Amino acid sequence: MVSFSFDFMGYPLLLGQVDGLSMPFVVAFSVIIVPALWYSFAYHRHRNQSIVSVLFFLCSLGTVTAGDLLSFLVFWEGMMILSAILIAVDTGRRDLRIGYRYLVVHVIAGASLFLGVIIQVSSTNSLDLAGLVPAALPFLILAGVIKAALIPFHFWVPDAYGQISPGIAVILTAFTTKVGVYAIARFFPSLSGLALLGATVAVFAVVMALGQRHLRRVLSYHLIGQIGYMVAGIGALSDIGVAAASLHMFSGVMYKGLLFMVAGSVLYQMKTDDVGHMGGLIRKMPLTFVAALVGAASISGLPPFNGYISKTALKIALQGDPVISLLLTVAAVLTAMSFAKLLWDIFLREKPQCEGGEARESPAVLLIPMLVLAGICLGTGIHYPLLTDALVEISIPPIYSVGSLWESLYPVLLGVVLVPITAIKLRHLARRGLHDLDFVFPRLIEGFTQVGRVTRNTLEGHLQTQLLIVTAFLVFLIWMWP
Amino acid sequence: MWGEIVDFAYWVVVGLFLIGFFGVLTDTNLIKIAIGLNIMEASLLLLLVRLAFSPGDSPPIVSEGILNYADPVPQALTLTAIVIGASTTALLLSFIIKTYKYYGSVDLKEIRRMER
Amino acid sequence: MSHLPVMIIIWPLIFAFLTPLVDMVSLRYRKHVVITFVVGQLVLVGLLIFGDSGGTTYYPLGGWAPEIGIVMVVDGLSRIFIMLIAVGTSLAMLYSLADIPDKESKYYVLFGILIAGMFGLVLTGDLFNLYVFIELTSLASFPLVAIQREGPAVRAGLRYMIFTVLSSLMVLLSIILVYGALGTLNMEEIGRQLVSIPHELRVLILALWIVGLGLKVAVIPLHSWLPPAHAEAKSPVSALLSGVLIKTGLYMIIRLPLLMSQGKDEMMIQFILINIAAVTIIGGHLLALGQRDVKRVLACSSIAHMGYIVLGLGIGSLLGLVGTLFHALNHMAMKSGAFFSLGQMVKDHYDFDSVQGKGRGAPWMAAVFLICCISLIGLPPLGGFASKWILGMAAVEAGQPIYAGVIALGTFLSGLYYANIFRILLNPDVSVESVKTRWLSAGVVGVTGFLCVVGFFAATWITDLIKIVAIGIL
Repeated sequence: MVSFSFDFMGYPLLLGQVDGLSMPFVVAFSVIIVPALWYSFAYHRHRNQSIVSVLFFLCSLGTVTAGDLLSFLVFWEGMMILSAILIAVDTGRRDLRIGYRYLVVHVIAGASLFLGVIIQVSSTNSLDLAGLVPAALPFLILAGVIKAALIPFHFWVPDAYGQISPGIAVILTAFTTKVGVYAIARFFPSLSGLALLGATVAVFAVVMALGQRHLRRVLSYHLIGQIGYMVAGIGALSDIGVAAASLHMFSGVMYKGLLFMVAGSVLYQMKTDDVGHMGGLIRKMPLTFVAALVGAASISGLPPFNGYISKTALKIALQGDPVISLLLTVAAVLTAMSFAKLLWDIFLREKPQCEGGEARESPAVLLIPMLVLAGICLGTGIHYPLLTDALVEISIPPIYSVGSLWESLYPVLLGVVLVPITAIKLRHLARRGLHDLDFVFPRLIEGFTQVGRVTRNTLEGHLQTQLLIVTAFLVFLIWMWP
Repeated sequence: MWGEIVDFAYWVVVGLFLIGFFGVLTDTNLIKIAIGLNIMEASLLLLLVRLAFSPGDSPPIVSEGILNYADPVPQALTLTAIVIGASTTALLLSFIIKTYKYYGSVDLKEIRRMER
Repeated sequence: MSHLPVMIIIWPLIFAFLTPLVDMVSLRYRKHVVITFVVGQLVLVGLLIFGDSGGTTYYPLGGWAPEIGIVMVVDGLSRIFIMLIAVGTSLAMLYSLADIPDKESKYYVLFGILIAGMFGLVLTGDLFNLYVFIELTSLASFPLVAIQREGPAVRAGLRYMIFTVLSSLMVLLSIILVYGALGTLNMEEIGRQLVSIPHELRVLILALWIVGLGLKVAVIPLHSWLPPAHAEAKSPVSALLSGVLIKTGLYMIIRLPLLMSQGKDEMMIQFILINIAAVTIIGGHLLALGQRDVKRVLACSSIAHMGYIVLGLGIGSLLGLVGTLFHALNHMAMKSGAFFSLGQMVKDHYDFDSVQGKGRGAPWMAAVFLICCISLIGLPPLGGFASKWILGMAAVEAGQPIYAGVIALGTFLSGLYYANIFRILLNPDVSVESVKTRWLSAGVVGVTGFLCVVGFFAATWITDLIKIVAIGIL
C-alpha cells in the first residue's frame, strides 16, 4: 500500500498506512464517496461545497490511514473544521446556530484528543498508535465517544443531521461517526464495558427514533443505533468481534447512505420531512420505494442484504454474552418496527389529504446513486465472500443456514407484527421522557458565556481598583518569595 | 553600596513616592493623578542623584588634587529621565485636555457617569 | 565593523522625520516613501539576521568601551524579535496606507518612532538605554491609540498611559536599585553579578521586573489597560499593538528576570510565571467570552495568548522556550491577520449588533479572518496548532500535565467565542452591501493568512531555527 513519511518538528509522520483495521474503512469511504458526491450535486448551493466535500473525504481517509498520532490528530481536526464549514454553509440561510453547536461539540472532542495525544507522546516520546499510557486514555476515550456519538454525547447527531439538507448529510454521516468508531477500535478496543455501552446505545437510539416525527431525525437516531452495534462488536474483545464491527461499519455506511438518499428524495418532492404529512408515495415514486425497501431490509438485517451478513457476524462474535445478545435482539425488533412503520407511513398507507399532490419520481441525478447503493447492498449480501474474505478475512460458519436465517427473521417478524400495538406507546414514552440532551447543550454554552460575563465584570474594574490590584500583586510577590 | 546611604534623603524619597502613589490611588481628578505620577517619578530621580553622591565628593570635573568624584553616570541618567518624564507629562496632559474637550470634565467619576 | 545594528534603528527615524517634509511638498509621494521604507527595513533586517554566522555581535556606540559607553548586542534572541518586529511593522505599515487618511502625517512620524524604539529595545545591551527605549515606544504608542478617534479611545489611551507610566516607574526603580548595588548598567555584567546582591534587595528587583514587565505583556491581573486600548484603536494600530508591541515586553521578561536570575530565584520566577500564565489563559479566554464587541474579543484573546507565551517561559525547558518564541511569531501573524481582515470587513463600530452579517460583504476577507481565527483557536493545519502542540508537549515533558490541560481548556473556550463570532459575522438574516478592498490591503491580509499556513507547514524549519537560538540562550 502506498505510504509515505516526512519529518515534522522532529517527529516522523507516516501517512497512508493501511493495515487490517483501517482497510475496511478505506474501502467503505472510497466506495461511498462516489454516489454520495453525485447525489449531493443536486443539493449544493455552491460549487465550493463540492470542493469542501472532497477535502473532507480526503481528511477522513487521512484519519483512518494515519500511521501516527500527530497526523491522526491533524486530519481529525481538519475533518472537524471542514464538516463544520459544510454544515454552516448548508444551514446558514436558516439557522447558523446549528453549525455553531456542531463546531463547539467537536472542539471539545478535538481539545480532548489534543490533550490525550500530547500526554501520550510526551510520556512515551513516540507517535506510535499502539501502547497507550493510562494517563492519556480518558481523553482519547472522551474524544472517540463524542465523535462516535455514544451516550451521553449523541445529541449532536440529531441536532445537526436532523436539519441539514440530505445531500450534505449523505456525505457527513458516512464519515464523521465512522472515524469515531475507528478511533475506538484503534485506541481502546479492550476497554471493559464497551459491549454493554454499545448495546445500550443501540436500544436507546432506536427507542428515541420511534418517538420522532421527522424523517431525518429518525434516521439520525438510527445512525446512532448502528454505531452502537459496531461498538458492541468491538467490545466483544476478540478478533472476530472487531472484524464483525468493521463489516457492520461497511454495511452501515452503505445502507445508511442509501436511507439518507431516500429521505432526501422524499424531501425533494414533498418539501417536508414530517412523516405525518406523507402517504401513498409508492405509486408516485416506485423506484424510491424500491431503494427504501432495500435500505430498510438491510438495516433490519434481512437476507440477502449486507446488513444480514454483518449482523450475523456480530451475533457470532457476541454469542457468549447473553445480556448483550438480548439487548441487540431487542434493538433489532425495534429497528424492524421503526422501519416497517416508516415505510407504511410514507409509501404504503393511503392518505387522501397528504401534501404530496405533485410528487413524482425523483430525477436521475438522485435516483442513480440510490440504485447504485441499493445494488451494492444486495450484491455484497448475495456474494458475501466479498465482505467476509476480501474485506476483513473473517471465518464464520455458513451464513445462509436455516439457523441464522431464522435468527434474523424472527425479530423482524416480531417487529412488523408489533407495529400497530406498541408504536403508539413507545412514541409517548420517547416524546415525554426522553426529550433529548440537545436541549441541554445550548444552555451549557449559555452557561459558559455567563461565566465569561461575570469574569468580564470582575476583571474590568475601575482604574484605581486595578491600580490597587497591581500594587497588591507586587506586594504579594515580595511577601511570598522565600 | 546601599548600606551607607540610608539617611535622611532616603526617607524623603520613600515619603515622596508614597505621597505620589497615594494621590494616584485615591484621587479621581485626572490632573491630580498626573501630578501624583510626577511626584513618584521625582522621588525616583532624587534617589538616583542621591546615589551618585557621598559626603565629601566634588563635582565630576577633572581637576588637579581631587580624588573623590561624585559618580557622573547617575547624573546623566537623571537628566535623561527628567526629559522623558517631562514629555510623558506633556502627553498625559494633552490627553487630559482631549478628554476634557469630549466629556467636559476631568473627573473620572463624572466621566464614568457620562459613559453610562 | 558593520554599522547595521545602529542603521536599523536610524532608518525608521529617518523615515519618521522625512515623511512630514515630503508631505509638505506633496501628498502624492506618501506611497513611495512608505514602500521604500518597508523594503529598506526588510533588507536591513535580512542582512542583520542572516548576514553573518549567527553568533553574538557587539556594537559599541561611538566606539566607547562597553564599561563606559553603550553597547548594542545582536544575539539569537534579539534576532528573532527583530524578525518579528520587522515583519509585523512592515505589514501594518503597508496596511495603513489604505486605512489611514493621507493627511495624517503625524501617524507615520509616531509609527516610525515606535519602530525605532522597538528595534532599539531588543538590540541594546545597556539597562538604562533599555529604559529609554521602553519610554520611546510607550510615548509613540499612546497617541497612536487615540489617533483619528474620539472620546472613548482617548480615555482608553489615558488608561493605557497611566498603567504604562506606572510600569516604567517600576522598571526605573529596579534599574536604580541595580545600579546602586552593582555600579554598572551593562546587561551582561549585571547578569553575571546579580546573584551577589543581598537577598532582600534581589527579591525586590526581581519582583519589580516581573510586575513592571508583566504590565507590558498584560498578564492577568496586570491586564486591565489592554482591552480598551487595543479595541479602540484603528485596525492597523490594533494589529501593531497586539501583534508586535506586547511581544517586546516578552523580550524583556526573557532578558531580564529569567536570564539574569540563577538557581533558586530562577525556579521561583518560573513558578510564578507558570501560574500567572495558567490564570491568564483561562481568565483571558473567559474575558473574551464575555465581551460584546468583536475587537474587544480579539484584544482579550491577546491576553490569553500572552498567557500561552508566558507559559512556555514558566515551564523553563528548552522545548518550552521554543514554544514561547514560536507562539510569539505565530501570534503576531494570526492576530495581525485577524485585525487586518476585520478592518476590511467592518470600518467602524465593532459591537456585535453592528457587525451582523458584515463578513458576507467581503467574502475573501472573511475567509482570511476565518483562517486566522482557526489558527488562534489552535487547530491544524495552521500555525497556532503547531506552537500549542510544542507548548503542550513541553508542559507534559516537564512533568506538569495540568498545564497541558489548561491549554486544551483554552482551546475549547476559544472555540466557543470564535464560533460565535463567525456566526455573527456571517449572519444570513441581515442584508449587506459588498465592500471594496484596495489591492494593497487585500495583499497584506493575504500575506498574514499565508503566514498562518506557513506556521504549520514550515514548522519544522522554523522550530529548528528557534531551537538553535534557544540552545544559545539557555
